[in-house]
Amino acid sequence: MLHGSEWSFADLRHAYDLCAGHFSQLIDVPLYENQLEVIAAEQMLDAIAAVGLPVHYGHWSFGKSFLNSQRNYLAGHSPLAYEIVLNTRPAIAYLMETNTLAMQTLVIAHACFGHNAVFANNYLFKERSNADAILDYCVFARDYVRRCEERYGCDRVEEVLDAAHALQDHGVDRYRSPSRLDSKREREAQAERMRAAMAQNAQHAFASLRTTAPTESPLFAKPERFPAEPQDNILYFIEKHSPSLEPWQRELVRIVRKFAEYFHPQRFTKVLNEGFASFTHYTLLHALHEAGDISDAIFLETMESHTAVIRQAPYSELNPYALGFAVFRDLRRLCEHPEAEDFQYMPAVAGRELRSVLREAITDYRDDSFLLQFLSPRVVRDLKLFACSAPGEASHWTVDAVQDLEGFETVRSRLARHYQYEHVVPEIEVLDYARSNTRALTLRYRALGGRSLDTEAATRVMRHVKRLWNFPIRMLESDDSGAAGKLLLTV
Amino acid sequence: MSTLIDARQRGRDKSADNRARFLRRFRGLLRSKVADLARHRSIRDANQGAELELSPHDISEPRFRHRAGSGAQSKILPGNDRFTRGEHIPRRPQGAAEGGSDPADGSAGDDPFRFVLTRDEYLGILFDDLELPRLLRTQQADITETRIRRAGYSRQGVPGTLAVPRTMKTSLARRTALSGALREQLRLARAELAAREAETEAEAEAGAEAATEATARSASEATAKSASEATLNPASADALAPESERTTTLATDQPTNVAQRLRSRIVELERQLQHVPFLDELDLRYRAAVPFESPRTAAVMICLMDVSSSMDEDLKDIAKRFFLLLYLFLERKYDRVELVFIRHTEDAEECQEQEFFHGSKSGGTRVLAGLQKVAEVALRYPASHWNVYLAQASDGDAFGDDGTRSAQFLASTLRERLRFAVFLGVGSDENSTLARSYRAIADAGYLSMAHAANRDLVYPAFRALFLPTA
Repeated sequence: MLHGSEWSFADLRHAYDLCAGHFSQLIDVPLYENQLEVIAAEQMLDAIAAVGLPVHYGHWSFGKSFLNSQRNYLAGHSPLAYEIVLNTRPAIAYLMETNTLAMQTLVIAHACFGHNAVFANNYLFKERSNADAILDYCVFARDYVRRCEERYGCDRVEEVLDAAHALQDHGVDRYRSPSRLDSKREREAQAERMRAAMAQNAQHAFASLRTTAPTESPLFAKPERFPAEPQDNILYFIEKHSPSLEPWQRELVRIVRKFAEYFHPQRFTKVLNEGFASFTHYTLLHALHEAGDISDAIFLETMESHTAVIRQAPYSELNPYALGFAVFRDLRRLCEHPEAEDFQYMPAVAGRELRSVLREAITDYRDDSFLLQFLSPRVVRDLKLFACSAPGEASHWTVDAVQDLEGFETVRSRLARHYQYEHVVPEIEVLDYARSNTRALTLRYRALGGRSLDTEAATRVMRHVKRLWNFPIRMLESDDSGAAGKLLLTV
Repeated sequence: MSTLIDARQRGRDKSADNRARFLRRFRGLLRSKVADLARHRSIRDANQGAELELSPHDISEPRFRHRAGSGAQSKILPGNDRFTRGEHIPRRPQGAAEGGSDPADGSAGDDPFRFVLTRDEYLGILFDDLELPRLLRTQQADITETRIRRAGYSRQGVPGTLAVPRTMKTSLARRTALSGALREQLRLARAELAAREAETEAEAEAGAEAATEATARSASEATAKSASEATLNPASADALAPESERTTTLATDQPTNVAQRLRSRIVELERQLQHVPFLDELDLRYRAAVPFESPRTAAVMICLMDVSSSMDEDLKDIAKRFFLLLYLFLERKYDRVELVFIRHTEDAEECQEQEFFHGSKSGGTRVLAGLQKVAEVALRYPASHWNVYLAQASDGDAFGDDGTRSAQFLASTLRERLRFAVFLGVGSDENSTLARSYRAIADAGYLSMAHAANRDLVYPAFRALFLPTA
């Protein structure tokens, strides 16, 4: 039986094995191999600063976040994360050396089983981020950025990275999944792109000679619209079509885009991921306690942390841990003790086998679809969720729905919408690139639901974009329908 | 299906590079913040790190985002314990929601970004691109001094420099080398003895009817075996040669006799082994030291201040700030910096820091007395070992020919002994008697001059002094 607060490596291994046993009882899904690394507080600070990756390219913004968390930690404002787990293969989980045995057990259950299961099975992770290749790619990116710094100077590299970072949120194809990441192929492809660019440069030199001869007067032909369809992956568009970037700069943009892609799933499975991890540690710790594998003291200590993690203050922003945990715990009830109401409102889940429902939930959904599918009237009641709204100019909020059956549908669909991509990130697309004349770039912001763009921030972003594009850039604003609207900004 | 790694020993300072990038990126911003801080900060703190505040806007990374509170707002909030459908909740003036933060505000908090600079980073930015002026090229030769440096081990030395671990290592090596052959012989002898004894026992068991022929035969076989065993090891073959000869002759003797001899041989070998000394004079190793030339790294800073009644606490405070900056600056350039405080009115005396800045004395002013004291103190610090700096602070009072005589004294007698002299005028009178007298020699390059009318001007004055002239 595990007891006391001090731990040894044998204890950790034992805790891990115990968790593994109980986890297989709970759900039957493949996991990535786990790699548990015990680290010290300073190392945790380093890891947090580098967005968790063990190797990352150098940039001042990571230094900034390091200084920030270091200060908060040293001044005692905020405790450090107990763990970080990476969507890599093997899944690397960092455990803080200062954690007690109880915390280590909790963290192992939470990260090595809960998060790991989502990483290894969720469709978004499988499509968007390649856990096999990311560590290699990190090394490639770090070395590439370093080489560029040596060759072209830190300032020029920083300029490109800063600009690309400003567009980080717009580096993902929302509706298409990207090609798989492979660092070896990536290196070869990078060399290939370099060669192609050089060849193209040579061609351009001659092309200008050739076009001086009159051909089929292109002046009068109506220029084809380019791109044919609006493009939502702005970083990709810039990487491919910027009229002024040098090959190494394109490569830097690509690196930033690849990392944006890698982190995309984490951002849009927050509730699902944290919910399942919390549900996992909650279930496993109960099982461990019932089986007599852990002492009462350890159990109570973990439950105290658990309650702190899923704490939800009333009338404040929803805590993804609390929401996710509530939904998953309710799934168990829906499966094992469904009530009449559940058969009516949650027919797809009520009374089914828990194992298969859990597997389905972590495999096929992301936050918005997950909530639409699995949020039950009971959870809405428990969390006392209510929906209110106000048009832009209204002087008061109107309560549209409260936590009763009548309001259930409204609350659920609105809540799901809040986790949609376009709710979180403004929808901005590349509308037009006048490549045959001014080379001006036109972006379009779609003001969904009448929300407008923060023009002050947008101007600063556009200045960054300009550094990557070097020709005029315009931003149009259109309404929901997408009809071209008024001019918003120009740089 | 899992690996457990203790990664605590891995590098810890991984973020140092990114931290440095951050400081580099906002160097200009930080410099002005640090300069601000240096102006207002209490003097005692200047030698520590500093907590800086940057506006989040200055260092933010912009993203496209929705304007807070624009468009049709919709919210889902937990914990409803009082509202019913259709009810109205008054909106806060800026469109913030009832209770809780507006999600559209996102993380656009206006809390200043605070972080801590280490002492070195702080001083690095404070003294950014400042240089010691004219470490006189004429005297470059004597900027070096002879120092002693560790250089491996030597066989000679005094007991005080005995390198114990190294000595023990040598001793172990020698003992191993000297006793190797003996130990090998000992091993063989023991093995043979054991074989003999086993044989005798076997014989005893076999009883009286055992034939003496058989004994002789097996004995000779055993001998042959041991001889061949010995030659298997060529290294010890030489050492063994006498022994195998002896055993061959022994083979004809009675077995008990042979065992007896083997036993005595073992005793003899053990005795010899014991005679290999544990520590020999040959083993002794000493830490060696060699002299080498290095730049001189010791400095002494002589602080000279007029403490006559015209210098009030405020003026002293200005002076103190200046002295402190100079001290910190010198400390960055030299390994060791010593401080000497000299205060003067009509006469001068050496004193402690406390008296220097806070003690009061009444009387007139005679600058020359102070400078003479400086000359006297400087004798304690020969130029061959010390870089002597003089920092003088005064409100500029000088009566009669005191000013000119002081200037002359400084330019002639003191000139030789000082690496650098600086005069800081404090107070409102920038064109005081003393300053006027000094200006002539300052123009000749014997002295640097600065003036600070109030606290805020100390750092700029200091900077101006040490900015390298292009």
